[in-house]
Amino acid sequence: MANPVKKCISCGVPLTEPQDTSFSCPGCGKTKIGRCTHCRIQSANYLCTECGFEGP
Amino acid sequence: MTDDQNASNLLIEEDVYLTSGVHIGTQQKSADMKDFIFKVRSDGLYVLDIKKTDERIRVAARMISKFKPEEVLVVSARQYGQKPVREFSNNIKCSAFPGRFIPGTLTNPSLDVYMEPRILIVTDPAADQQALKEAVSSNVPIVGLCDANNETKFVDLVIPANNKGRRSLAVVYWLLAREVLKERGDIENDSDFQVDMKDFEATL
Repeated sequence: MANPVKKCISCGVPLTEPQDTSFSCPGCGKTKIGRCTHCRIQSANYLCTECGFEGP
Repeated sequence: MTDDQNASNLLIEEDVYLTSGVHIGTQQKSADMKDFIFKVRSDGLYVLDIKKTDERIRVAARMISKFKPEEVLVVSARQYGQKPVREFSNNIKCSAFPGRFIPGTLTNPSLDVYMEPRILIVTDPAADQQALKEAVSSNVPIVGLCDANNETKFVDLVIPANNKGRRSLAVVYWLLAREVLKERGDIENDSDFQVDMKDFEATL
């Protein structure tokens, strides 16, 4: 990966935990979405800065 | 595409969604799913928003098509989801794990069934919790078919749909397969997908 995601897109914490994940935006595929463990557990919303897609 | 489809801009006619019961939720709802609920029926059943289901199928297909076929894993512990999952994997050439998910499949390299997918699709986050748990510890993004009562914990992309119905699961996986093939460029348009929706339905 050329430019790995380092922060959670919802809360901004660095992605260091084993349960964190990152993937291309499902809406546009251009931006990388990073989600920390806490936000995944809480099912916190994320917003793509490029296309405005709101997940999960 | 018919005029009805053009007007509503859905992947298939709204009638197909409605007669297959894709919109039928449960009598309980979870806070996670409240954005996808259209209304409550007088009998207390929560009805899912078909437009959001349709939109999420497109988005999920776009997301799945970004991965190589062998990097996609689809699981279903539910009886009615096993046939659709098998047919889905046959069509898009991905891996499928219908039935009981053997613990360690994603985490124990010494197992024969060990695999390392890059994306997981679960039919029901509650029923497929073993697969979900293992995918979470493998940093794999998760796409989940979620009903009105499902929690979306660890699910990275929700497809709101009735994940308990035989025909509903067939419709969702059939559409998902068609859209993935379209996104990949394997088929040009809807009519090129010659697979019958009935082939995706589990037998009674």
